[in-house]
Amino acid sequence: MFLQILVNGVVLGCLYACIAAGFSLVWGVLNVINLMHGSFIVLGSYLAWGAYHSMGVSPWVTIAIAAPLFYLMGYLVQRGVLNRVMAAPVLVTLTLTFGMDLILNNAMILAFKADYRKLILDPPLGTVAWGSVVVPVDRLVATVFALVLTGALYVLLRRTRMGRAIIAVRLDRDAARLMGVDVPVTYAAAFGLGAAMAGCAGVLLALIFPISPLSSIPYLGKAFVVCVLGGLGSVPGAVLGGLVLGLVESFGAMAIGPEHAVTLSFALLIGFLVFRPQGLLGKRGFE
Amino acid sequence: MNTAGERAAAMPAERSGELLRIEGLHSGYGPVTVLWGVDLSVREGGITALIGSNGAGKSTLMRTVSGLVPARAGRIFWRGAELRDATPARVLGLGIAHVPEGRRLFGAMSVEENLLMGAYLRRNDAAGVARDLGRVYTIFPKLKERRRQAAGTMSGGEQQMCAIGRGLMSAPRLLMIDELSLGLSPLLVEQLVDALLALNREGLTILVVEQDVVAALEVSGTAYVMDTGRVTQHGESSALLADPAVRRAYLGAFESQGVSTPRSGTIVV
Amino acid sequence: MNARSFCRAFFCAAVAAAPFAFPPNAAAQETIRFGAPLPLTGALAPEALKQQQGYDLWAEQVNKAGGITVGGKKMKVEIVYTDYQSNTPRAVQAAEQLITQGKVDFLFSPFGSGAAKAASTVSEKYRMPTIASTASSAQVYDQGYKYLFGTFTPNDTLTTPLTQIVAQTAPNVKRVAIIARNDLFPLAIAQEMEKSAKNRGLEVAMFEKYAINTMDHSSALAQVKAANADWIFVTGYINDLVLIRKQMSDQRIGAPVVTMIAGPAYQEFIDAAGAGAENISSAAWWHPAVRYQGKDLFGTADNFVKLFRAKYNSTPDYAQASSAVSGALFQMAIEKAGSLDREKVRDALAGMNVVTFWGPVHFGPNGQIDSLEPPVFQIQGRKAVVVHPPEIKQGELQLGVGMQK
Repeated sequence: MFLQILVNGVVLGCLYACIAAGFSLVWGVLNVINLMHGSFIVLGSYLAWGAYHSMGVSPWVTIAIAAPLFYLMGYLVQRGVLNRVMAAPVLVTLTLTFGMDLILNNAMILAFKADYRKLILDPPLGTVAWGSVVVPVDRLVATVFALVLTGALYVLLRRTRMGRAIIAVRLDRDAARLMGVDVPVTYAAAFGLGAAMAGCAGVLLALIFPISPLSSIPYLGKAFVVCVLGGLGSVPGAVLGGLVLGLVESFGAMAIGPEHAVTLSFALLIGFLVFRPQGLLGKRGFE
Repeated sequence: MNTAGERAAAMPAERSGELLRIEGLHSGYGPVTVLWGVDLSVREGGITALIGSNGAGKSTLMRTVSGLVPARAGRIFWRGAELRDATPARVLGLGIAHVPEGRRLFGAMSVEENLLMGAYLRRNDAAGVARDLGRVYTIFPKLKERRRQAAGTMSGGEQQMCAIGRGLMSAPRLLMIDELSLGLSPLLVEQLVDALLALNREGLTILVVEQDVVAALEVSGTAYVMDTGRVTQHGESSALLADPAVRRAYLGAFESQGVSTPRSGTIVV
Repeated sequence: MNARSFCRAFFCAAVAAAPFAFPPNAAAQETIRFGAPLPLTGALAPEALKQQQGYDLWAEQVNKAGGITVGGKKMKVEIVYTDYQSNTPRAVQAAEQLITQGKVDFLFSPFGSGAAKAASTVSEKYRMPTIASTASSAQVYDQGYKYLFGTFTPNDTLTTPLTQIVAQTAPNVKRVAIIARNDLFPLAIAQEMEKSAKNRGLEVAMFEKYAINTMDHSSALAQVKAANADWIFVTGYINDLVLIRKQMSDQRIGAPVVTMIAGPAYQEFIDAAGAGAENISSAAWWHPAVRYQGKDLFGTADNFVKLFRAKYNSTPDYAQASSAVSGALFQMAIEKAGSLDREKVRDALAGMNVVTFWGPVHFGPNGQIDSLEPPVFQIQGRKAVVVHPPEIKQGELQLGVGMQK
C-alpha cells in the first residue's frame, strides 16, 4: 500500500505542479496574484469537454488549441486591464482579479450550470499495473503531459528572447528597461503564458476530475499552497512544491484520515509562511 | 609617475562634435525635485567625469538621460537631435548605454546571459553580437573564465566588469557609468580604468560618475562638478585637479599625489 | 466614480431592491404560498432539481383539480423558490427571508439533513409548519421542535435491512470497509451501518471520512484495497459516488458487495457510472415498485410515475416522490384543518395517520415519519431492481462488483 500511495502522491503532485506553474510565474514576475487562475483552469476543462463531446476532438489535440487561445486571452487581459494597476499596491491587483474572477466564474455558471460534467473518453483508457501498484492510464498520460508542459515553460523562459526578458524583468525591472526590454509587453507575455498554462492544465484535469465552475476555488487554493511551498516565480519550485503537496496529501490521508488531508496541506502552508516564507526554492531559482 | 596632464596628452585628439548636450534639465522623483537646471555637454571621443557629493543628483542625471526617469523641464540633445520623452529602449537604440549605480546585474543569470541581455535589442545581428561578446571576453578575460557562473556570486570587481561588459554589448557610442569604483579596491579600479582608457582610444565616448575625485579627474579630459542638483563648476579636468577650491572641497587633506598605472589594455587580476 | 462611492451606491441599490425580491400578494389572499429554499446552483444542484420536479408536479395536479379546499373555498397553490447555492448558512437565511419577506404560508425544508436541521430553528421561531422531504437523520429531529415534519424514516431503517439481506444471501461476507462523506446525512448513515454491521457480527475493517468537495479519493481507496474487505460501503451524494466508483476501477478495487448511499437510486448515477454501476446495492425510502393504495391525490405509485413521466419524460425516484408527497401531505392537513391557520395545520400534520402512494404516513413525536419500510434494491442490467421487502421483491441480490479476472 505504501508504494501505491507514493505513486498516487507523485502523480497528483505533477498535476499540482502544472496547475501552479503559471500562477507562480505571474505572481513572481508581475507581483500579481491572479485570482482568476482557478477559473482559467476550469475554462480550459470546459473547452476540452465541449470539444470532445460535441466535435469529437481528442483532449490531446485540444491542448494544442488551448495554449495559443489562452495566451491571447491572458495577453489582452493584462495589456487591457491589469496594466493600469501595475504600479498600485498588490492589494489593488488582488481586488481587481477577484472582481474579474467573480464575473468570469458567474458567467460560467450561467453558461454551463453548476452541475458537474465529466469528460468520459470512449473507449476508456483503463489502468496499468506494476506489481501491486495500479495507475489509471488517463492520470498517467495527464501526468506526462503536465511534466512536458512544465518543462516547455522552463525551456521557453530560459532559451527564448521573450523568456529571458521575462526573467530579467522579474530579477530587476529597471535594469531590464535599460537593456531595452519593453516592460508592459513583457508583463503581458508573462501573464499570457500563465493563462496558457492554466488553460492547458484545465484540459488535462478534465480527464480526471469532474468539471464545474465550483472547482475554481479548490484549484486556486492548490496553486497557492504549491507556490508558497516551492517559492515564487520558479518553475522548478512549482514542480517541487507540487510534489511535496501531492505526497503530503496522499500520506497524510493515510495517516490522519482523508477528511483532514486538505487541512494538513493548509497547515503546511501556514508553517511555511511562518518559518520559510520564500519556499523551498525561492530566492534561488530566478532571484 | 603619470600626471593628469600626461594622460590628457596621451589621449587622442578629441573630435569636435558634441555627442550629448543637456540644457536646463529639471528632474526628480514624485514630489521631490533633484535636478534644478543642469547644463552639460559631452564631446565625442572623450572621457567626461561627473563628480560631486552624495545627493548631488549625478545618478538622477544619468537616469534621466537614459529614460528611466522622465524629465520635467529642459532639453536633451543627442547628436544634434532633441530627445523628447524617450523610453530607455529608444535611448539604448540610439547608442547610449547606461551602466547603473550598484551594477544591477541579473544575479541569478550567468555572466554570459547577462552579457547577452545587453545585446537584447540587437535581434538581427547575431554575427555582430558574437563578435562583441568575444571582444568583451578579450578585454575582461576573467569574465570568460566565469561565463557560466551566476553573476550574483562573483566578487564586486568581477561584477563591475560584467556590468561594463553588458553595457558594451549594445555597441554604444556613449557609455555612461554610474559609480565606477564604489566598493572596489584601488588595484581593481586601476585595472578597470585601463580597460576604459583602451576602449576610449578605440573610439568609445565615456561619461563616468565617480566618487573617487582623484581617479575621476585623472582619467577624464573634461569634468563637471555638481552640488544639490546644479552644476557648480566645469572645465578641463587637469585644471580642476589643480584648483584650490576644488581641492579644499573634495580632496580634503589630499596632497598632490600621482597614482601609477600600467599602460596596457588588458586586465591582470 | 471611485471604489468607495461605487460600493455605497451598490449597497443602497441592493437594500432598496430587497423588498421587491419577494412580492407578496397585494390583493386578498387567493393562493396558498409554499416556500421552497433549494440549492438550485452549486454542488447539490442535481438534488434540488428533483425536489423542484416533485413540488411542481404536485402543484400542477392540485391546481388542475381546482386547488386545495380550505373550509369550503378552493384556493390555488403557488411555490416560491429561492436559490441558496448549496451553502448551508445561506439556506437558513433563505428560509427566514421566505417567511418574513416572502410571506409564505407554509415551508418546505432545504435539501438534506444538514441544511434541514439548520433551517428548522427558523421554522420553530416563526411557528411555521415545515415538511422536510429529504432529511433522514434522527439528529435533524432531536431538538424537540414542534413545527418540523419529515418524510424520510431514520437511517437505521436503511442499513438494518441491508445487513439482513447480505447476511442471508452472502454468509461469507465478513469484513466491511466504510467510507463516508463528512456531512450530516452521509456520516450518520455510515455510523448506522457500522452499528448494524457489528450487531450482525461483521467486522468493520475500516471507517474513513472524506471532506466535502474532495475530488481525489485515491488515498482512502488505497486503504480500502489494503483492508481486503468483502463489503465496501460508501456514502455521499451523487457526484461523490460517481467519482468514487470511477476511482475504484482506476485502482482495480472490487468486492462481493458494494453498497452506495445515496445515489444509485437515481437514473443519473446509472448513466454516469455506466458499466460500473452493475451490482451496486443501495437502499432508499421509496421505489416505483411499491404497491400502496393511497388517499392522496396521486393514489398509487403507478399513477404518480405515469403523471411524472408525462410531464418530465423520465422515471421518478424517491427524491421526487418524497417532495410530491410532502405537498400532498400539506394538502391533506389543510383540508382536514379547514383553514390556513398555522397552528391548526400543524396539529393536523401531527395527528396524521394515512396511507399515501409513498407509503403509510404517521409522524412520531419528534416529527419524523415512523411508518415506512424502505426498500433495498440493486442495479442489475442498468435498472434498479428491488430485493427487499419480500412483498414487493423483483429479484435476488447478486454478488460481485468490479471484481477483476
